[in-house]
Amino acid sequence: MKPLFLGNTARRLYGVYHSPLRTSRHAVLLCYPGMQEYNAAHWAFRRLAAMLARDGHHVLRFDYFGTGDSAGDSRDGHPDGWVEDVKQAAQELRDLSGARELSVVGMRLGAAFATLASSAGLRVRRLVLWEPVIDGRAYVRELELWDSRRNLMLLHSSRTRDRKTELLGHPFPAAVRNATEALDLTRVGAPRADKALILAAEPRGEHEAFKAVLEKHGVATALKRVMESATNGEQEVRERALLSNTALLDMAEELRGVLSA
Amino acid sequence: MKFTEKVLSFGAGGILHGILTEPEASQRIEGAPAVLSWNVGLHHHIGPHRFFVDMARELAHRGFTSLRFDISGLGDSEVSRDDARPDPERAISDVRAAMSALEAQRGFTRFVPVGFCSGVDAAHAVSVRDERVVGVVYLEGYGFRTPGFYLHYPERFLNPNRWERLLRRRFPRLFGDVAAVEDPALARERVYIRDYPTRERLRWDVHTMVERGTRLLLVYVGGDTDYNYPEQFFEMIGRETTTNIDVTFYPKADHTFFIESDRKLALERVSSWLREHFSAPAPRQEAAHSERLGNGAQTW
Repeated sequence: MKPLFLGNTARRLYGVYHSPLRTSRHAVLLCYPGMQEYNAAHWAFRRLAAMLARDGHHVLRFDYFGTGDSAGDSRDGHPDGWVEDVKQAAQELRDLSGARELSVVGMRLGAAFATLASSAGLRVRRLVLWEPVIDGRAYVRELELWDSRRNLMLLHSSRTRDRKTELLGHPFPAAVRNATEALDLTRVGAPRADKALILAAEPRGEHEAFKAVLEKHGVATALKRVMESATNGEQEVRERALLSNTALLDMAEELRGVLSA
Repeated sequence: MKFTEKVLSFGAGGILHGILTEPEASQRIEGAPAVLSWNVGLHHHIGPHRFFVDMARELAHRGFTSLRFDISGLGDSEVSRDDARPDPERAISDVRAAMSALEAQRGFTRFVPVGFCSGVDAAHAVSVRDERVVGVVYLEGYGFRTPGFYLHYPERFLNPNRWERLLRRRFPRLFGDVAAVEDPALARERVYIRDYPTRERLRWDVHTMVERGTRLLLVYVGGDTDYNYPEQFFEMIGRETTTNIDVTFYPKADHTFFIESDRKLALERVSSWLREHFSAPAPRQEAAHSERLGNGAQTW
């Protein structure tokens, strides 16, 4: 595990590189979810990175600009820039590892950024999309619902109720809200990917629609249900997924296919 | 940019990792202590809502160097397979390793740990034992119910925000959210598990630190904690020990400073306290002061 800074002076990004246990020509870039879900996902990403490195992949997980330890104030980030960060980190991972081939794993908003980066020219073997945000407007509504429930914990929730520039304890400026709500992966251009895997605890119509779009673009796509035990709601499904091995094993299995190809 | 950020790897085998934030040379306060922060529960070293990142950068603007890092086995730090020590013991050892690394690599001899919630346990333990600690910050640290707490307790019944919250929880349909009360994530968030010293032990520890010249800043929030008025800390530890201690109470903030403006107040309080007491190389003692700030905070 080697923490490092990458990118240029104006946009330094923090990342952690996990070297493979054996010589490898394949690298995996891990894309975190958005900042509202980042802390909860951090542990699962660390475990996934370790599993993939043990399997023989070079792995890099990194923080987008304005998130985690990367440069920038939390209000300075923007989805357009975060997609560029994915491309930048991919290039750095190639340079760092010498790997010729790359796959990308993204969770939630990170899955959307990975798909958009690939559509914008990032060549990947596998796109592994874990609970991808397909409809940005629905995603924002979902976060707002959690936010309103979280506010039940506060004594002074009236202070946040009408403040749309914060969401789940993080800044959420209008420009970020607008760009996030405009996300629609069913209208994405053709990703430069050989294959895609969509993982969802509760596959819905939007997953099927997204799969159909990827296949129309010539990307062989599988939609797999992550089998978690019975839960009481979407948020808990995701929490359990972050703590269990099921989704991580599914992703590792998918990426083992690249090594053996 | 008025600061630099670098990865610092330290500890046996270099398995502990953190981010060293340093002010540019012209801004640096000569002889100032280095500030340390680490995990809050299972949160990695950036802290809740990126609190420690914002704190490090704010402190760098004020001339202070800081290291935010992960305790072994958490966040981006590794843990040795042979290390079978209990977590609290390992945390204390890791904080001291961070101090030694900054001493060896940057020449720091004085330190200010910032503990936040469960992170307070290691901050407190290290500060009591290690004379290199010249100041310590407790963000949502120890709270013991005192007679004064119970005297203030009925005030909650006059607080319309509490009644509103009760209604929202009990009758979510009225507010358009049927599932909220049953959400298990909320129930889990209400539980904060802490390893408290006894009240007598805390009193003795604080006395030891104050006698040594160590300065303490304690920041508490309102809400559902065991702390409900500014001076409660002095009732907890005995009013004979008041020197070198500053207490700030934010009655409207919540446990993790969920609202950005509350975080800013807390960050400003920590940085102004550091600036006030550690801008000069030599430590000094002053009597506790009381004042009211113009931002809702109550400081003693």
